[in-house]
Amino acid sequence: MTDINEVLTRCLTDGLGLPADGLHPEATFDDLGLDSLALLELAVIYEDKTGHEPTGLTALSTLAQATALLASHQADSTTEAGT
Amino acid sequence: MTAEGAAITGIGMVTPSGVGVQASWAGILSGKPTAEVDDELAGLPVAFSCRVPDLDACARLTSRLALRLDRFTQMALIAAHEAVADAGLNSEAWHGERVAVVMGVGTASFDRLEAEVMKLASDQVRKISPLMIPRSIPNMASGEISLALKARGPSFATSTACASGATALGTALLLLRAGACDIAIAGGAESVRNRISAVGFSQLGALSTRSGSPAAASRPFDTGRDGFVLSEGAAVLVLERPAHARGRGARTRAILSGYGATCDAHHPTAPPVDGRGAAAALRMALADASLTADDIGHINAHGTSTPLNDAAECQALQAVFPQPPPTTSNKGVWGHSIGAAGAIEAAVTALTLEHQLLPPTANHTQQDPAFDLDIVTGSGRHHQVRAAVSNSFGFGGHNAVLILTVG
Repeated sequence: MTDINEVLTRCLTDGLGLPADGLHPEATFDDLGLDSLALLELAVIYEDKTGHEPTGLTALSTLAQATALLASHQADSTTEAGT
Repeated sequence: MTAEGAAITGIGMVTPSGVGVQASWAGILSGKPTAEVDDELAGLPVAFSCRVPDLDACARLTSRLALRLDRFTQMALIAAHEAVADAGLNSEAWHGERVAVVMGVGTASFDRLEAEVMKLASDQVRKISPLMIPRSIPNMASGEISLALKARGPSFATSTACASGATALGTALLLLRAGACDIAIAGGAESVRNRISAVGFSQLGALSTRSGSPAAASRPFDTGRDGFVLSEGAAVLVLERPAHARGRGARTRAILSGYGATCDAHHPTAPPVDGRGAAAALRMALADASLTADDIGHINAHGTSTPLNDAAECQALQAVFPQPPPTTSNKGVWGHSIGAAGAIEAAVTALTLEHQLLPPTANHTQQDPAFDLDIVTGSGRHHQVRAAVSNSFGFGGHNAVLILTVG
């Protein structure tokens, strides 16, 4: 079972007001009722918490895919910082 | 030809006495002022208000909507759901294209604007919420009601400052008469219990400064009045052509029979001393309802408790009515909720006609000696009334007068 990014979880519950028990790795943002406007909101909240702008998230991304995408952003920026 | 009225078949209210028609009607009959110190306004020149208790938008709507919507839209949605249920309508089953939504909102929403502007001022532009605009614009009360109720007919905001809610109801009556819809969901919603509104109205000199005793601050038509009290709330009425209401066996709580609208064209914020624009709106509403001054048994006044408004309103009433009928102002109990006030007071006027009971005016202990009005005080007054007036006047010189009759 894939874990969901912890910051993403907090953004969805505290920032967007979704109930925590609905957050499953295979749920898409669309399944959670989040539209393009909500994804814009999510991006600003996530960047505020982490300093990283999440790119590439769509309404059809699952939380597992989003977690993988955010991990790759994080890895990229770590590499950049290291060079 | 007599213009047809609209049946009021559903009412929803959110007021500083509580959420729902029952709590609001009980609160206004109690005559108990709701103004108290407001921690959100701490440190400002005027730091008291009338707050809606236990709004609890998370539970009444969803936590998602509670975070996404500003307070005025939350209150609008809660009132709209109550009104539609009260009317016995099912928004899943109705013909949505024939349902209009008109909501009066007097300002943009400043609930959460201060924090976003602070980010702008400190160069933290990327932290600004993308919802700053959609949650703040005044048409969102009507837009979100349309969305929630699948009401796909005409939907818009009316904005005539403190008269916005009454303008919305009058406009909805015109839409029904014009055949633009079969059902109109109309009212007003506003919260000015925020730091930007509080300081803005304070700098304008419009607010009562009775900070030592907030509960005594809103005193309509009283000799000691010194300004209005910041408030919030929402009210929504379901309006239908009488034949449409009869056709589905709906209960009619009262009839919205007439609407008069004028503009003073005199001054940005002050009424003319003789209240001539308000008087003209009163005469227009009477003519629209095919009634005369003698037919009116009760006035639900605008009665803001500002020195100028109450004086001009008194002049207007005395110009139109040889002896003005028993008059009440709901703002003694609830303060001034700007765009919501006209709708809340129309809802109270409908309940007044239904119950044949005039609610009292709080804090009216000594009438301004310049006035000669029969102000209802104490615990209200049982009184036979077939037709009543609800007055609303706003910055910009806007005057909106509604006439309601028994259902």
